[in-house]
Amino acid sequence: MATPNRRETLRQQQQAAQAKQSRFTRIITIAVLALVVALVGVFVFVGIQAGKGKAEQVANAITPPNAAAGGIAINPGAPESAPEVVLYVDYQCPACRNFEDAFGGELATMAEDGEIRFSQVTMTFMDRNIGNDSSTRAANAAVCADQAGVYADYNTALFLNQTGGTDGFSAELLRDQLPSELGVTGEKLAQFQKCFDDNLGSQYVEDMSKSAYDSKVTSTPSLTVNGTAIDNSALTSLDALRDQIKALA
Amino acid sequence: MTRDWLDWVGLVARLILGGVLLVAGLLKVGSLGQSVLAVQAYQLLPYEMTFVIGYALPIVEIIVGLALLLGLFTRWSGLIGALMMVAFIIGISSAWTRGLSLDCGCFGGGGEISPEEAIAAYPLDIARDIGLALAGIWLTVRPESPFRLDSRLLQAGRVGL
Repeated sequence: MATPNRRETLRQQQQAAQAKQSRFTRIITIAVLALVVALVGVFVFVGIQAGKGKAEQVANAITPPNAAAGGIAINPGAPESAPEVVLYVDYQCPACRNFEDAFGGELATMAEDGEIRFSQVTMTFMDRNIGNDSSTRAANAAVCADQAGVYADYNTALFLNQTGGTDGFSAELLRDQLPSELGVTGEKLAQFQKCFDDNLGSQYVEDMSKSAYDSKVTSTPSLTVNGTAIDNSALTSLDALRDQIKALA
Repeated sequence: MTRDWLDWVGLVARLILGGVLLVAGLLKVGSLGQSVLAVQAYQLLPYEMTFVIGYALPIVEIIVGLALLLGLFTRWSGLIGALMMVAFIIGISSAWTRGLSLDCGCFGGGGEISPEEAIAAYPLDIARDIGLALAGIWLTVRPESPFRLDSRLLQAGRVGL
């Protein structure tokens, strides 16, 4: 049997071992938690940066001259009394190309006749689906095209030049070919190309994505009349399109 | 020493909740842009926040999933897992009641789908998340389970982790 003295020594040894153990516990705990916080912090930071877009570095960013309804007006001179029709598109979305083929002409006619106040909001989510940046570059080019006064035609030409693959739009197409096809020359062409090269429309492109989100539009093509979305499946013919617009006007 | 059978329930809860979280996180972490789109489809958060959640959620799922599988900070990992499941249940139910047709985006993917597919998937998604939430609650209340790093490395009982 141990003497009281001996028992005391044993107890002290046990306490020391426990203290050491709890120190070890604390160090491991703090190290693991610090690692976790750092890792999550990095992802949150990158997410915040992604949410801001790449636009904030752009100096001399432009707002398109015909900015309207969170997007760009096709017929800026339309009467105030006409219903506000907004088309949400992504230049790389194949269904948007089909929509343009089927209804683009009719909507353009209605816009020209002043029956609707027609504008378009360009989204860029297809970049994230496809893994390139063509939607963003094309959207930026379209903002520049508005500055050059050829937004509607540039817009149509983009859809006609959709490749359907993952290559997207070449810089040559966006920067040289399309403007020259649309008769943009001289001083105007130089301004367009500077706008394209310096991404001067990128802030507005980001604003358009935010505007679409705030309007609860998450897929393209989406057509709204005075803020109410038309169900795409109801758009079976040009007459159906006119009827749907009239019903919500 | 024989183990209480309840300990084995804890192990099953850890493996199921941890395994599902780890897989869900790994499937999403490679395409964070998609993850943001999946969050945006719910139309619940301000635009900027959808990026923060879209980027942070997959890595949090991986960390909590690993912690549960290893049995590290079991009580807290279980609690976080359960809270995440409650958030997912709220998100999916809210999308359902608002008439949105979306893929929950739980394991990658996400975004809008046909109403028929969505209506068919919502009850199953919610039932799965309720089951996972229960696993998390179990571990919060009773983290004891075999093969737990807590008890080996950290003497969990003594410091109350």
